[in-house]
Amino acid sequence: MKNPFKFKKEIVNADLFNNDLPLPHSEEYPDEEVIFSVKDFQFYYDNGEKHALKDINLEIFKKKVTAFIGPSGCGKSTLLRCFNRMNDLIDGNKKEGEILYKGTPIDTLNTIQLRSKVGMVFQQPNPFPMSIYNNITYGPKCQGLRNKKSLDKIVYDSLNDVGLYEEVKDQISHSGTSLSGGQQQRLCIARCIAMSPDIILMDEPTSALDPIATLKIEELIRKLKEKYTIIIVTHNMQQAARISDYTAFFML
Amino acid sequence: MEKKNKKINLSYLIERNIKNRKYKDGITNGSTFLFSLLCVVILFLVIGYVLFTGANYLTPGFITSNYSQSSVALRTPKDFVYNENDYDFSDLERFDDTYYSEKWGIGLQYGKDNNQNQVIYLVQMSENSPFHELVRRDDGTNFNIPSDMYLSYITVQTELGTYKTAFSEDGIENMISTLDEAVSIYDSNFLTLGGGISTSLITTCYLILFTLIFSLPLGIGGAIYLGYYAKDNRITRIIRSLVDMSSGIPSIIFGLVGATIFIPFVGSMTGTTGGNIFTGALTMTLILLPTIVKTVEESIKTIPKSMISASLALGASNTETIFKIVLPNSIDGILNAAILGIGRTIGESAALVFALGTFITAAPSFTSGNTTLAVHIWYILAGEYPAYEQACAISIIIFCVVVVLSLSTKLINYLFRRKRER
Repeated sequence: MKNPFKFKKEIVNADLFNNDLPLPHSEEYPDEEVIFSVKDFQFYYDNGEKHALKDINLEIFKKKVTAFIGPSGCGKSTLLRCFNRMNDLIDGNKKEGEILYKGTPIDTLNTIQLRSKVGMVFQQPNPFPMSIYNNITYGPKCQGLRNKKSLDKIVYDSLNDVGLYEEVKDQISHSGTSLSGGQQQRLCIARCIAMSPDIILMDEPTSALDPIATLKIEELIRKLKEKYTIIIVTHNMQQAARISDYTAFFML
Repeated sequence: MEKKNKKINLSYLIERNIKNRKYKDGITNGSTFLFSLLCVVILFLVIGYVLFTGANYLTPGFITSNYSQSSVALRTPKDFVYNENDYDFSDLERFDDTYYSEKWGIGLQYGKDNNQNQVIYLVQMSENSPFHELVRRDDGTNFNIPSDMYLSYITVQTELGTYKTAFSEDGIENMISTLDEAVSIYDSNFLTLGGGISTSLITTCYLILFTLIFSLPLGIGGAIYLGYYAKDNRITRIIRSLVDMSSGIPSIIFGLVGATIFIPFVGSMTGTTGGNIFTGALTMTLILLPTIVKTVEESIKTIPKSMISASLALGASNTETIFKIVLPNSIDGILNAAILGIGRTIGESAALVFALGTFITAAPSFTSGNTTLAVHIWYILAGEYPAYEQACAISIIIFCVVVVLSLSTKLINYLFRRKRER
């Protein structure tokens, strides 16, 4: 059993907020800048009994869409959740190897700082049961932003970016859960980009949506690519072909 | 062994069983119906008995008056001389249900004390009435008779110099005829309504307040630990089963703990001796904690994991997630826990007999023993002459509070479910 009184020392790295920092170029694709690199990564569940990820070597390129495809249970979502250390919340996890974010191993970073730079959109739309405004300002408020004007600007910009502003501008104080499924998912994306992250992780964001809402999300991803690096897990090969620049195939 | 593929004729079996089953089902259904009917009948009998016995005794005077009676003895001054020509009682307004003494200028009316005995109230006094001159027998000071005191007996001196006494049990006519013979009032006894529950009622409210102040933060903290932080390992399982078990401990054992630990503890800090509201509240906190932890934990567990993940993925810390996501979404559980706690505090008697005290005081006190309504019932039934009627009247109050509380939990659950579905 782990010693519960032993806390892992986490450092806060100010370099992560510097977007002008020169990133190393990939050896295989010399044009691309590497933002995440995964080296000999192993991941286990159940105290090492279940070997979920085996020898992963992968590079994620800046401002590109990388799609993860593969059969069910092959560990796509597991790897995705390793990027923002959401897997740390699961009991009995164990990892070997390392993931570097802008050259820094993520395990040494402060989780709050890492998660504010690496946003995540989940499979099921999961807006908080509060107003649309509060949903979007949740992240910035947690970081201590209190200025009403800047918060208003963040809400306007994020809703505009996801193309939701025209649809919800009259009901900005209504509950986020009162929107339709596709709108909820776009609200979740808006909530995520309100933190102005570098990377957006998307865990099958369209699997709970109808084709039209899916199409809207795909268009949105193509648009967001200009500003953000996107990693998307998908079961749909056509979708991967439509939206991704690079594709990682996972084998069982 | 080889499997034998024997064909089973199901339709034949069904046909054979159908009659059999009918009787079996009839007996089981009938007995379940009978038993549940019996339960309902018994419940209604109990409630009916309490309502029937106590309803007459549940008067405003019963709720607002003290348990102890205070009395005052009055007489006319020693140099008082009755002179018929001195008095003019024409200002006295006449009512049908009031009896008047023309000689003394007073109006008397029948009333009831908290034991439903007939008593006489002095309801009207003429401005010129000699009753304004009455002084206390003990120190000779003037005394204005308050309207909530009733007249229990009066002793007068007649013209012949003899004394004559009229009791309120003998009726107003007797008292008025006695007064008509009088030249001075030798002794008259006025009493406040005794046997009331006002102190116990106020103490119960204080006890609920302090119990919730002590128990809710502790219980919510425990629930957050068990429902949010705790990993699913052996230690957590042990803690959880201990919490479950402690909700089954008889409350009198907690009362023992309250008497042996909290009374000296509170006493060493505040200098009090014996039980008081704080020792009672601390003991009730012990009794309520398992319930509060369980209720709030269940409510925290119904919060979708995805919502907590979303909060953490947005860079919120655990503390921010708890205060912004977990607690606001488990507010129904917290309210339910508080209401359960209130109900339990009102109904608890065994533990509070030790931890709070059994002395029905004249006013609620933070430094000495008190009673809640339930302990009040215990007190008035434990004596030589059990006052079942008053006990039933208190029970009606407790019943009403409990019914209102359980209805409000239903309302809270309904409102929050509707809000969630929307």
